[in-house]
Amino acid sequence: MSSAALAQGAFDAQGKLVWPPPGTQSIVTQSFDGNARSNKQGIAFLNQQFRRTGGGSPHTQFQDVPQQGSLHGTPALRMGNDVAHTILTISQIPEAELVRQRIRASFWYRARGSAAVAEMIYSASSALDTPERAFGGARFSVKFYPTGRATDDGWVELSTGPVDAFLQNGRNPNFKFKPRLVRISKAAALDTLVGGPRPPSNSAVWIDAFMIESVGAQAVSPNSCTLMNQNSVCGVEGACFGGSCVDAAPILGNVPETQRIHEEYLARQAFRLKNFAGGRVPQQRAQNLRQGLLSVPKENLENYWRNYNRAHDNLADGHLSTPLTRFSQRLPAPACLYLATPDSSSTQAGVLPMVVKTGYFSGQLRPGDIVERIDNVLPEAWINRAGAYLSYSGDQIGRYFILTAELLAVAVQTNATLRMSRCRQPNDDGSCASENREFFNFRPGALDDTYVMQGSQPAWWQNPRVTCDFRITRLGPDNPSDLGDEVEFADEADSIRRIQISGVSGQGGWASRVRRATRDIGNRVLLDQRTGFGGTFTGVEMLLGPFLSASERPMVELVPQMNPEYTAQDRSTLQQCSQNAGEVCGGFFQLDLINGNPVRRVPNARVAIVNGRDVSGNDYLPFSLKAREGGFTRIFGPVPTYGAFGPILTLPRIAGEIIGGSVQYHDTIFRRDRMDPNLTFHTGRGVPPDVSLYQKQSDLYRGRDTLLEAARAWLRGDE
Amino acid sequence: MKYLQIVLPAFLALTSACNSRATTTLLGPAKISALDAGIPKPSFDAMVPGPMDAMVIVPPDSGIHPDAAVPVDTGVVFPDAGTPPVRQMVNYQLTGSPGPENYVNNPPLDLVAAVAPIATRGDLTHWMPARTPTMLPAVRSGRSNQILISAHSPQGNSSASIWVGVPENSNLTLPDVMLIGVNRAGLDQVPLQPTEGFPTILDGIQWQQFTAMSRLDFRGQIYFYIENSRNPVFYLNGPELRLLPATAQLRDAKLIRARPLLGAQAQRAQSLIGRYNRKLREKLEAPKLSLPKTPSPKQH
Repeated sequence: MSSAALAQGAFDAQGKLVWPPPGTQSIVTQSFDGNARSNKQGIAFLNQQFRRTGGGSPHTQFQDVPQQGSLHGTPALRMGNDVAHTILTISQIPEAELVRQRIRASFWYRARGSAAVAEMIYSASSALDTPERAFGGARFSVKFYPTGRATDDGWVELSTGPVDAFLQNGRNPNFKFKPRLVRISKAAALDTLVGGPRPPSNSAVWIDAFMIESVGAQAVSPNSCTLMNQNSVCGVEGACFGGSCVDAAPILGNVPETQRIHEEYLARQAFRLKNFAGGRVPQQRAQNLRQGLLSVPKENLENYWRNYNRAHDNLADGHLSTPLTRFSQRLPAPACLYLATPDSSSTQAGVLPMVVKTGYFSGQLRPGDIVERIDNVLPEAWINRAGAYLSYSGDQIGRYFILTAELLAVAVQTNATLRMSRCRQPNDDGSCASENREFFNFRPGALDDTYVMQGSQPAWWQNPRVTCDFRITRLGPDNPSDLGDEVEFADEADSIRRIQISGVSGQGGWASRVRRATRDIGNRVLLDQRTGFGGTFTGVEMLLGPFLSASERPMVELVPQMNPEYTAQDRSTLQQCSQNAGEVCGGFFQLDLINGNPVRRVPNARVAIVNGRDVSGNDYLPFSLKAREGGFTRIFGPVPTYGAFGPILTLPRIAGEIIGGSVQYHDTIFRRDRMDPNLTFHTGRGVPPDVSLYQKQSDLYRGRDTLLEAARAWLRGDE
Repeated sequence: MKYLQIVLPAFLALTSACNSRATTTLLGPAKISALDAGIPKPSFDAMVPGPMDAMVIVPPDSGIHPDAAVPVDTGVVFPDAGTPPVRQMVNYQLTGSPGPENYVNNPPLDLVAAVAPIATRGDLTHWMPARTPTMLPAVRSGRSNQILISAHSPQGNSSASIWVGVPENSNLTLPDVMLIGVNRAGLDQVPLQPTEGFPTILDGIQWQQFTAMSRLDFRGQIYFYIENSRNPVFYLNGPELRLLPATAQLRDAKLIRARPLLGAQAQRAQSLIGRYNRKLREKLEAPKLSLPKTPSPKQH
């Protein structure tokens, strides 16, 4: 920041901040002088009750800071030991002061054991102004980021940057989101929410000079729009939401207002991915990440987020997730769409999204309906255009398939129009005569306005919920509430043991069910892992072990980033070090995948694996089964697995985010045994299917699961 | 173990009234006259960018009166001893004075991250005073006597730095601070040594910087290892590991050579590093996109 910019926050002779700065058009100012809990100028404290259980009493929650310590005027606000979060309601600001305004909210904090983090929350109704609304749920917000200004005694300024005061929807004049709550949290208190330790009992943070100011006229007009035309219709600051242009920041997320801070934030993200990422493909691709992230100006926010997500996705680290900056959430799917082979499409596209479970839209959709176009373009093009909402960081060959399952939730948010085709009366073989094919438009956003118009949780969030696991038929309940621990198995005709998993947790009930599923296993096994959330090496070993001969000794070697690259000499050095000192050598480690301790071994078994969306532990499992020496393994599926060969690590937070993101610090070399000289890394390239296959629409009409049928045919030896 | 009695909690405000950087000074430690305790200390070449800006101003705390033992904010008003100081604006940096190009995995010492520092005994506490030597948060350790912080090893001439603090009124017993990594010779260490000068005192904590420059050839991950045996409460802040510019001319005499990690200290360090590495390899899972649960209004 330049000297001139720093000097804008000049101090008076007593060292107090001259605030608001001359020329500021303040709407609300609160310097917490006098009685800090009074309702002044449109601000009130909403949450007297957010305090440590059993600790302190309400009157000690907020204390005044010594006058000489405050930044402005007399005392500041002290969030003391018992206060985790302070929630201000600003909904009493007269509407006339916000209409057609672009605003900026800011305040200063001084850490006394903990920093402060904050969000300004938009909602449509004061009825929703409850403390709980300040955390998660379906609503929109902007985060306060450091502006780059601080004082030499430790006060730090945070701001939202410019944002429109109202989010209006041109389709409905009554629609009006406005900022209603400001949640200021101790950073240490957020740690507890994400599994960290309890905040230190004696930490405090001081707050001063809170302000909402006008910084000009509303930037975005509520024009009608679609995802496809939003850049031309909504302007630089806008995004299409609910079919109407609104400021992109509360919907998609804001970024630091100050360019220097913004660039520093991206520079750190890029540096750690470039230098710490373990995956060899990701680390190569991260060499120019910083330039790529900075290539789109942050002022063009929808383009910025689309570029940001895609730049990270293109690294092909399936364990990568970008930092979670706000309490906002991806919407769950209201119905299940999977990419499928249509038999009755009007397009030449090989695969298109097909309805498999109608879920909340049972009155409008039927299983087998095909999405031909969205907002007048092919679905794949539309999904690529929705990159500000959607991301997929695994092997990019699977991008279209994986993201199709999230298509409907984005269509609701943007009020997209889906051009659907339906077969009124399928033939006995599941095909569809052209005269039986009909087309209709479907606009899912029109069926439930609660989300886009009120910021409430959409109805399908609770009722009825569908589980979209890429399966057409499944063992067990149709819509299990928790897939992660699932193990189902059944014996089918032709001596086929069918095992259905959705991860490889290796723990507790999962482990005991896998033991049962493999205890008396035969030589034909159908492993359905069309959803595979991963798990542990223990879980991989338990499902691999029965299919290895007693003499096989496969192992994995996990190697962090090395420059110059890992060599046989390094292997020798690190192994020698490990033998002498234990698992302490350079973050390098190796594991034998033979500890499954199987009750029964069937090394000559035929194993048919049916893949869908498979990551991490569910990358290792099919790779290892394919690599075994005996038997035959064949993979049936539409696309490769994620290719995330390594443990997932959560990253530290840079700017008061809720979660700092995640990445892999290792890549994996598979070796047949300790003599195997192989040095090939695998992250970034998923395990491809041997038989590339999508569900067929005609099979769905006949109640047939295309992939399972193909797998069974191979197990029987029909092909 | 080396002992250094801190005689004077010193500040030296280098006035910058005549300096064009009067309003752009970085927050950081005072530049303090040398204190010779008979300890060999590295000094930085003039061409090597130091980890901290030397021309810094650290004014007395303005109205903050920390507890003698542990700097705790009590909210209690104390009378001010003198004229309130005139504040100055400084540049805030998200990544602190080390900047973004820091090979330490977790410079803010975020305890929620998988690559969080770990301690042999007792829990670490994340602690953010108003001011630290680097603007980054600190961790506070009670009875833990060994702490591990991970980094990726750059290849070539590098500088390493970390700040160790104790409550202002305590006597700082210098801990052993080192980088540990593996090279062709096996498990080696590079000792970090206290920099010249008095410690810096900020908000009730006296800070001592430890530094080293070395030609690193470690492979993969390396570790800052801090072994403290005497200080009942101590703080760590701002671990930094930088690859020095290729143009930096360093005399070999200034480079600290890696040496074998031996004896009981080696066993203690290996135990801690082993625990850290086992923790890192636990999860083969999909990235989690879900949010934490909304806290109950009655608790946090």
